[in-house]
Amino acid sequence: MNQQRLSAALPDDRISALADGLLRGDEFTSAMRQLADDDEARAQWHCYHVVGDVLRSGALGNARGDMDFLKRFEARLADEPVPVRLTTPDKVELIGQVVAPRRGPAANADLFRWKLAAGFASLAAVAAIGWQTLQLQFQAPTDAAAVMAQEGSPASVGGFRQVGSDMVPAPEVAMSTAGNAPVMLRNAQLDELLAAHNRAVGGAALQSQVRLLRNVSVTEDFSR
Amino acid sequence: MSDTPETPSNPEIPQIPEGPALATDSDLLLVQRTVAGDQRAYGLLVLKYQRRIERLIGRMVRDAELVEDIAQETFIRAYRALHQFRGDAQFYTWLYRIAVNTAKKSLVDMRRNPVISENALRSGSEDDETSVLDRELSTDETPETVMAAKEIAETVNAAMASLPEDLRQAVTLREIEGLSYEEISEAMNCPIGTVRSRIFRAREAISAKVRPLLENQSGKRW
Repeated sequence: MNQQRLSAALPDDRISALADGLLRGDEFTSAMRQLADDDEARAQWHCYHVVGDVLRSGALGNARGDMDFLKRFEARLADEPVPVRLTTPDKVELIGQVVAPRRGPAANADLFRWKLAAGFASLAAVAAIGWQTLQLQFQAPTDAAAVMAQEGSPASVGGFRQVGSDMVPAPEVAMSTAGNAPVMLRNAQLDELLAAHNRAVGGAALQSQVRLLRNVSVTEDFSR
Repeated sequence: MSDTPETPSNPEIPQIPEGPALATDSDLLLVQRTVAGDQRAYGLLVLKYQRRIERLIGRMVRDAELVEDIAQETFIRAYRALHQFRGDAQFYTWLYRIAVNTAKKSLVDMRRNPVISENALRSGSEDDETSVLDRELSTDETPETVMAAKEIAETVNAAMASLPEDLRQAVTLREIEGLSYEEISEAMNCPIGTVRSRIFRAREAISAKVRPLLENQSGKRW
């Protein structure tokens, strides 16, 4: 019996737990009812928060007029309409009751992964086709250049050909097949420029560097 | 703790995910109840944040009555816009912005009025919130209110010092360090239920000494 009296005398810790956001379900609902009906409970709520504010910052200790402030405010609030009634009054008690499950992996997660893999595969296929198309485009002018080289360009001797009075590397026209590395084109105008430079710097200085040339802007129409 | 009832999910009621509860979860729940028609739930939010809001406004406005008027107006404006609060940010952050805007609007309105009390306006930088006595005494704080705040602060500190070590540690970790119950449980190596009990008992012990001070001069604000 003494224990029953003792447990009955022990104050309820729900207000403390509510202040820490701990309550859910029936506990939350009953705590809200208690706070709505019991001034003592509201005073308890107020005091807990004063203590917390003072512990964090002594500057917020002036709390004696708080309840009067609240009374004046509630009188003013009584004239305010409820902003937007999202739910009917009988469902007020549901607030805090319904708890959404913790978010876990989606039910269609596996399906999503398969779709992702399929998307990447499609992208890779498109990229491969596009790359091969680009290679074929580069091959066409190369073939024409090979014909032109055979028919009309200066003869090449040992990898070099005569341009004016100088020997410059002959056009490297590679016969490529589909899937090989990009074709390297030579431009006659560029070769003449190189020859001129070659003469200026004394001949062999550039020969090894000429082969390093890669990106040549082809402006001539090799289809003619 | 009892099982939550199996009720159909109501799309109108924003739901709080299951899991470790945050302090701000209680704010969101109180907001939800307020929007659902429980105005007393909003009163709990007012009690919780009123002092901080008044202190914030007091940095911008000197006049004591004006500070309270602006604070009341802040809470009213927040109440009217409550349905817009989604819980993406903390409730106090949202309230803070409303308070600043309300105070600024009041200052603008006052400046338009040719009859302006110079004492009503305050200029200068914001002060640190940590020390009352270090700040210059202004018209929104009378010597009585300063002494009252000091008395409450001293009482709280003395009550804390007299607490048993486990209770003091629990409430310190919660109120000052801001740890969750789960984190405190881990730090103190005890069950969450024990953490809840210790924090409650610490608060009760401190409140027992502070509440007489709060009720003693109720109504004598200034």
